[in-house]
Amino acid sequence: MTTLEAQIQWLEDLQAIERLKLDYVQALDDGLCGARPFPTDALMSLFTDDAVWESNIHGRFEGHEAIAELFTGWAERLSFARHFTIGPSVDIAASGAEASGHWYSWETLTVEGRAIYLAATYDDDFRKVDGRWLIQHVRSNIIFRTPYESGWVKEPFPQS
Amino acid sequence: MATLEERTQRLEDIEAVRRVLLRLGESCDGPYDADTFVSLMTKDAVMDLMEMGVYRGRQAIHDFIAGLREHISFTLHYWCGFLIDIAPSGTEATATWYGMETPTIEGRAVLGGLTHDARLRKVEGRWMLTHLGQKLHFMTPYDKGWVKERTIPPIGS
Repeated sequence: MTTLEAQIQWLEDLQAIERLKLDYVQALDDGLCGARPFPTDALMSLFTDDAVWESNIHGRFEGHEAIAELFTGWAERLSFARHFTIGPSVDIAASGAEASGHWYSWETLTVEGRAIYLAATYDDDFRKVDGRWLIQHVRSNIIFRTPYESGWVKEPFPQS
Repeated sequence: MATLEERTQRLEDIEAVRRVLLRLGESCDGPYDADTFVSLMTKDAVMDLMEMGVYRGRQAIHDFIAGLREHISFTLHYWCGFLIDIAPSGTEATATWYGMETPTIEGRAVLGGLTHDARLRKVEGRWMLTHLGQKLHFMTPYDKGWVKERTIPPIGS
Protein backbone atom coordinates (compact mmCIF):
# COMPACT_ATOMS: atom_id res chain seq x y z
CA MET A 1 0.00 0.00 0.00
CA THR A 2 1.37 3.36 -1.06
CA THR A 3 1.26 6.09 1.57
CA LEU A 4 -0.27 9.49 0.95
CA GLU A 5 3.15 11.04 1.31
CA ALA A 6 4.58 8.74 -1.39
CA GLN A 7 1.69 9.64 -3.68
CA ILE A 8 2.30 13.36 -3.20
CA GLN A 9 6.04 12.86 -3.70
CA TRP A 10 5.33 11.11 -7.01
CA LEU A 11 3.23 14.06 -8.22
CA GLU A 12 5.90 16.52 -7.09
CA ASP A 13 8.57 14.54 -8.92
CA LEU A 14 6.55 14.54 -12.15
CA GLN A 15 6.06 18.28 -11.83
CA ALA A 16 9.74 18.92 -11.03
CA ILE A 17 10.91 16.96 -14.09
CA GLU A 18 8.47 18.74 -16.40
CA ARG A 19 9.80 22.01 -15.04
CA LEU A 20 13.45 20.94 -15.38
CA LYS A 21 12.96 20.25 -19.09
CA LEU A 22 11.30 23.66 -19.57
CA ASP A 23 14.13 25.41 -17.70
CA TYR A 24 16.52 23.69 -20.12
CA VAL A 25 14.49 24.66 -23.20
CA GLN A 26 14.05 28.29 -22.13
CA ALA A 27 17.73 28.81 -21.28
CA LEU A 28 18.81 27.15 -24.54
CA ASP A 29 16.38 29.24 -26.61
CA ASP A 30 17.52 32.44 -24.91
CA GLY A 31 21.13 31.56 -25.68
CA LEU A 32 20.34 30.69 -29.30
CA CYS A 33 18.40 33.98 -29.65
CA GLY A 34 21.51 35.95 -28.78
CA ALA A 35 21.61 36.16 -24.96
CA ARG A 36 25.23 36.98 -24.07
CA PRO A 37 27.12 35.74 -22.23
CA PHE A 38 25.69 32.47 -23.48
CA PRO A 39 23.90 30.91 -20.46
CA THR A 40 26.35 28.00 -20.17
CA ASP A 41 26.37 27.98 -16.35
CA ALA A 42 22.57 28.04 -16.11
CA LEU A 43 22.31 25.19 -18.60
CA MET A 44 25.06 23.04 -17.10
CA SER A 45 23.57 23.43 -13.62
CA LEU A 46 20.64 21.37 -14.93
CA PHE A 47 22.86 18.37 -15.87
CA THR A 48 24.49 15.66 -13.74
CA ASP A 49 28.30 15.63 -13.81
CA ASP A 50 28.27 12.49 -15.96
CA ALA A 51 25.55 13.73 -18.32
CA VAL A 52 25.30 12.60 -21.94
CA TRP A 53 23.65 14.53 -24.79
CA GLU A 54 23.15 12.60 -28.01
CA SER A 55 21.14 12.71 -31.21
CA ASN A 56 20.94 10.76 -34.43
CA ILE A 57 22.29 13.82 -36.29
CA HIS A 58 24.81 15.45 -33.94
CA GLY A 59 26.43 12.41 -32.33
CA ARG A 60 27.25 11.78 -28.67
CA PHE A 61 28.63 14.29 -26.15
CA GLU A 62 29.69 13.28 -22.63
CA GLY A 63 30.25 15.62 -19.71
CA HIS A 64 29.63 19.33 -19.16
CA GLU A 65 32.52 20.57 -21.29
CA ALA A 66 31.54 18.64 -24.40
CA ILE A 67 27.85 19.46 -24.06
CA ALA A 68 28.58 23.18 -23.50
CA GLU A 69 30.77 23.21 -26.63
CA LEU A 70 27.94 21.65 -28.62
CA PHE A 71 25.51 24.36 -27.47
CA THR A 72 27.88 27.30 -28.00
CA GLY A 73 28.70 25.89 -31.44
CA TRP A 74 25.00 26.09 -32.28
CA ALA A 75 24.89 29.66 -30.97
CA GLU A 76 27.46 30.66 -33.61
CA ARG A 77 25.23 29.38 -36.44
CA LEU A 78 21.77 30.18 -35.11
CA SER A 79 20.27 33.63 -34.62
CA PHE A 80 16.81 32.47 -33.53
CA ALA A 81 15.35 29.37 -31.87
CA ARG A 82 12.13 28.46 -30.12
CA HIS A 83 11.45 24.89 -29.01
CA PHE A 84 7.70 24.28 -28.77
CA THR A 85 7.80 21.37 -26.35
CA ILE A 86 4.81 19.03 -26.04
CA GLY A 87 4.32 16.45 -23.32
CA PRO A 88 5.70 15.01 -21.18
CA SER A 89 5.12 11.42 -20.31
CA VAL A 90 7.34 10.77 -17.29
CA ASP A 91 8.04 7.52 -15.44
CA ILE A 92 9.60 7.62 -11.98
CA ALA A 93 11.58 4.50 -11.03
CA ALA A 94 10.55 2.60 -7.89
CA SER A 95 13.70 3.92 -6.18
CA GLY A 96 12.31 7.47 -6.52
CA ALA A 97 15.76 8.64 -7.58
CA GLU A 98 15.71 7.93 -11.32
CA ALA A 99 13.22 8.77 -14.03
CA SER A 100 12.70 8.85 -17.77
CA GLY A 101 10.57 11.14 -19.89
CA HIS A 102 9.28 11.47 -23.42
CA TRP A 103 8.54 14.75 -25.24
CA TYR A 104 7.75 16.01 -28.72
CA SER A 105 9.51 19.11 -29.97
CA TRP A 106 8.57 21.40 -32.86
CA GLU A 107 11.35 23.89 -33.39
CA THR A 108 11.42 27.13 -35.34
CA LEU A 109 15.03 28.08 -36.07
CA THR A 110 17.03 30.55 -38.09
CA VAL A 111 20.23 28.74 -39.11
CA GLU A 112 22.80 30.78 -41.05
CA GLY A 113 20.08 33.16 -42.16
CA ARG A 114 17.65 30.45 -43.24
CA ALA A 115 14.26 29.62 -41.65
CA ILE A 116 14.20 25.97 -40.58
CA TYR A 117 11.52 23.72 -39.12
CA LEU A 118 12.85 20.92 -36.95
CA ALA A 119 10.77 18.03 -35.61
CA ALA A 120 12.19 15.79 -32.90
CA THR A 121 11.28 13.51 -30.06
CA TYR A 122 13.18 13.37 -26.79
CA ASP A 123 13.70 10.29 -24.62
CA ASP A 124 15.57 11.58 -21.62
CA ASP A 125 16.82 10.14 -18.32
CA PHE A 126 16.92 12.01 -15.02
CA ARG A 127 18.53 11.47 -11.64
CA LYS A 128 17.76 12.99 -8.25
CA VAL A 129 20.92 14.38 -6.69
CA ASP A 130 20.71 15.85 -3.16
CA GLY A 131 16.96 16.21 -3.49
CA ARG A 132 17.09 17.94 -6.88
CA TRP A 133 16.25 16.39 -10.26
CA LEU A 134 18.94 16.76 -12.92
CA ILE A 135 19.22 15.73 -16.58
CA GLN A 136 21.40 12.64 -16.90
CA HIS A 137 20.90 11.72 -20.55
CA VAL A 138 19.28 13.56 -23.47
CA ARG A 139 18.37 11.46 -26.49
CA SER A 140 17.10 13.64 -29.31
CA ASN A 141 15.72 11.83 -32.33
CA ILE A 142 15.55 14.37 -35.14
CA ILE A 143 12.91 13.37 -37.68
CA PHE A 144 13.29 16.27 -40.09
CA ARG A 145 15.12 19.57 -40.27
CA THR A 146 13.63 21.21 -43.30
CA PRO A 147 13.99 24.65 -44.87
CA TYR A 148 10.70 26.47 -44.20
CA GLU A 149 10.00 26.95 -47.92
CA SER A 150 10.59 23.28 -48.82
CA GLY A 151 8.73 21.17 -46.25
CA TRP A 152 9.58 17.72 -44.94
CA VAL A 153 8.62 15.76 -48.07
CA LYS A 154 10.62 17.74 -50.60
CA GLU A 155 13.66 18.26 -48.37
CA PRO A 156 13.58 16.49 -44.97
CA PHE A 157 17.14 17.64 -44.33
CA PRO A 158 18.88 20.63 -45.94
CA GLN A 159 20.53 19.65 -49.22
CA SER A 160 23.05 22.47 -49.02
CA MET B 1 8.97 21.62 6.17
CA ALA B 2 5.68 21.91 4.30
CA THR B 3 2.83 19.72 5.49
CA LEU B 4 1.26 17.13 3.20
CA GLU B 5 -1.77 19.39 2.89
CA GLU B 6 0.37 22.35 1.83
CA ARG B 7 2.26 20.23 -0.70
CA THR B 8 -1.00 18.94 -2.17
CA GLN B 9 -2.42 22.46 -2.30
CA ARG B 10 0.60 23.65 -4.30
CA LEU B 11 0.14 20.87 -6.87
CA GLU B 12 -3.56 21.64 -7.13
CA ASP B 13 -2.79 25.35 -7.58
CA ILE B 14 -0.33 24.64 -10.42
CA GLU B 15 -2.99 22.56 -12.18
CA ALA B 16 -5.66 25.21 -11.55
CA VAL B 17 -3.43 27.95 -13.01
CA ARG B 18 -2.70 25.79 -16.06
CA ARG B 19 -6.43 25.36 -16.65
CA VAL B 20 -7.09 29.10 -16.38
CA LEU B 21 -4.36 29.77 -18.94
CA LEU B 22 -5.63 27.10 -21.33
CA ARG B 23 -9.14 28.51 -21.02
CA LEU B 24 -7.73 31.96 -21.81
CA GLY B 25 -6.08 30.63 -24.98
CA GLU B 26 -9.24 28.83 -26.03
CA SER B 27 -11.26 32.04 -25.60
CA CYS B 28 -8.92 33.70 -28.13
CA ASP B 29 -9.49 31.06 -30.80
CA GLY B 30 -11.61 32.68 -33.47
CA PRO B 31 -14.22 33.98 -33.02
CA TYR B 32 -12.81 35.89 -30.07
CA ASP B 33 -14.85 35.45 -26.88
CA ALA B 34 -13.99 38.67 -25.07
CA ASP B 35 -16.48 38.01 -22.24
CA THR B 36 -14.79 34.74 -21.27
CA PHE B 37 -11.35 36.30 -21.75
CA VAL B 38 -11.93 39.12 -19.24
CA SER B 39 -13.81 36.84 -16.82
CA LEU B 40 -10.43 35.18 -16.18
CA MET B 41 -8.85 38.52 -15.20
CA THR B 42 -9.06 40.77 -12.18
CA LYS B 43 -10.81 44.14 -12.63
CA ASP B 44 -7.48 45.98 -12.54
CA ALA B 45 -5.64 43.54 -14.83
CA VAL B 46 -3.06 44.86 -17.29
CA MET B 47 -2.44 43.32 -20.70
CA ASP B 48 0.89 44.41 -22.18
CA LEU B 49 1.18 43.28 -25.82
CA MET B 50 4.23 45.48 -26.51
CA GLU B 51 4.00 46.54 -30.20
CA MET B 52 0.23 45.84 -30.07
CA GLY B 53 -0.38 48.18 -27.13
CA VAL B 54 -0.97 48.17 -23.37
CA TYR B 55 -4.53 47.74 -22.09
CA ARG B 56 -5.49 48.53 -18.48
CA GLY B 57 -8.62 47.18 -16.82
CA ARG B 58 -11.31 44.75 -17.95
CA GLN B 59 -13.16 47.19 -20.22
CA ALA B 60 -10.12 48.24 -22.24
CA ILE B 61 -9.01 44.61 -22.55
CA HIS B 62 -12.52 43.52 -23.56
CA ASP B 63 -12.73 46.22 -26.26
CA PHE B 64 -9.37 45.26 -27.74
CA ILE B 65 -10.09 41.51 -27.79
CA ALA B 66 -13.60 41.99 -29.24
CA GLY B 67 -12.12 44.28 -31.90
CA LEU B 68 -9.82 41.54 -33.16
CA ARG B 69 -12.84 39.83 -34.71
CA GLU B 70 -12.83 42.47 -37.44
CA HIS B 71 -9.35 41.49 -38.54
CA ILE B 72 -8.90 37.82 -37.60
CA SER B 73 -11.46 35.37 -39.00
CA PHE B 74 -9.78 32.22 -37.68
CA THR B 75 -7.02 31.22 -35.33
CA LEU B 76 -5.95 28.41 -33.03
CA HIS B 77 -3.64 28.89 -30.05
CA TYR B 78 -1.22 26.01 -29.62
CA TRP B 79 -0.04 26.85 -26.11
CA CYS B 80 2.55 24.61 -24.47
CA GLY B 81 5.46 24.50 -22.05
CA PHE B 82 3.71 26.05 -19.04
CA LEU B 83 6.24 26.92 -16.34
CA ILE B 84 4.19 27.84 -13.27
CA ASP B 85 5.42 29.02 -9.87
CA ILE B 86 3.15 29.41 -6.87
CA ALA B 87 4.44 32.02 -4.40
CA PRO B 88 5.00 30.91 -0.77
CA SER B 89 1.87 32.93 0.17
CA GLY B 90 -0.20 30.52 -1.94
CA THR B 91 -2.22 33.44 -3.30
CA GLU B 92 0.12 34.74 -6.03
CA ALA B 93 1.54 32.90 -9.02
CA THR B 94 3.65 33.54 -12.10
CA ALA B 95 3.66 31.63 -15.37
CA THR B 96 5.51 31.59 -18.66
CA TRP B 97 4.67 29.54 -21.74
CA TYR B 98 5.19 29.21 -25.49
CA GLY B 99 2.50 29.75 -28.10
CA MET B 100 2.18 29.01 -31.77
CA GLU B 101 -0.80 30.54 -33.56
CA THR B 102 -2.42 29.95 -36.93
CA PRO B 103 -4.51 33.07 -37.68
CA THR B 104 -6.17 34.21 -40.87
CA ILE B 105 -5.56 37.98 -40.75
CA GLU B 106 -7.31 40.16 -43.33
CA GLY B 107 -7.82 37.02 -45.43
CA ARG B 108 -4.18 35.95 -45.29
CA ALA B 109 -2.76 32.80 -43.64
CA VAL B 110 -0.28 33.80 -40.94
CA LEU B 111 1.93 31.77 -38.60
CA GLY B 112 2.76 33.22 -35.18
CA GLY B 113 5.40 32.24 -32.63
CA LEU B 114 5.25 33.91 -29.21
CA THR B 115 6.24 33.53 -25.60
CA HIS B 116 3.83 34.68 -22.92
CA ASP B 117 4.05 35.59 -19.26
CA ALA B 118 1.39 36.13 -16.63
CA ARG B 119 0.92 36.99 -13.00
CA LEU B 120 -2.10 35.62 -11.19
CA ARG B 121 -3.83 36.17 -7.87
CA LYS B 122 -6.15 33.84 -6.01
CA VAL B 123 -9.38 35.74 -5.37
CA GLU B 124 -11.98 33.95 -3.22
CA GLY B 125 -10.45 30.60 -4.09
CA ARG B 126 -10.23 31.26 -7.81
CA TRP B 127 -7.05 32.03 -9.80
CA MET B 128 -7.31 35.16 -11.96
CA LEU B 129 -4.79 37.02 -14.12
CA THR B 130 -3.55 40.40 -12.91
CA HIS B 131 -1.04 40.76 -15.75
CA LEU B 132 -0.67 39.23 -19.20
CA GLY B 133 2.39 39.87 -21.34
CA GLN B 134 3.73 38.58 -24.61
CA LYS B 135 6.85 38.65 -26.69
CA LEU B 136 6.26 38.34 -30.39
CA HIS B 137 9.03 36.31 -32.05
CA PHE B 138 7.40 36.11 -35.46
CA MET B 139 3.99 36.68 -37.05
CA THR B 140 4.82 35.81 -40.60
CA PRO B 141 2.72 35.35 -43.72
CA TYR B 142 2.52 31.57 -44.11
CA ASP B 143 4.03 31.74 -47.60
CA LYS B 144 7.05 33.77 -46.39
CA GLY B 145 8.55 32.43 -43.16
CA TRP B 146 10.21 34.36 -40.31
CA VAL B 147 13.42 35.16 -42.13
CA LYS B 148 11.83 36.77 -45.23
CA GLU B 149 9.19 38.65 -43.22
CA ARG B 150 9.43 38.38 -39.45
CA THR B 151 6.17 40.16 -38.69
CA ILE B 152 3.25 41.57 -40.58
CA PRO B 153 2.36 45.17 -39.61
CA PRO B 154 0.55 45.35 -36.24
CA ILE B 155 -3.23 44.96 -36.52
CA GLY B 156 -4.96 48.33 -36.74
CA SER B 157 -1.85 50.19 -37.91
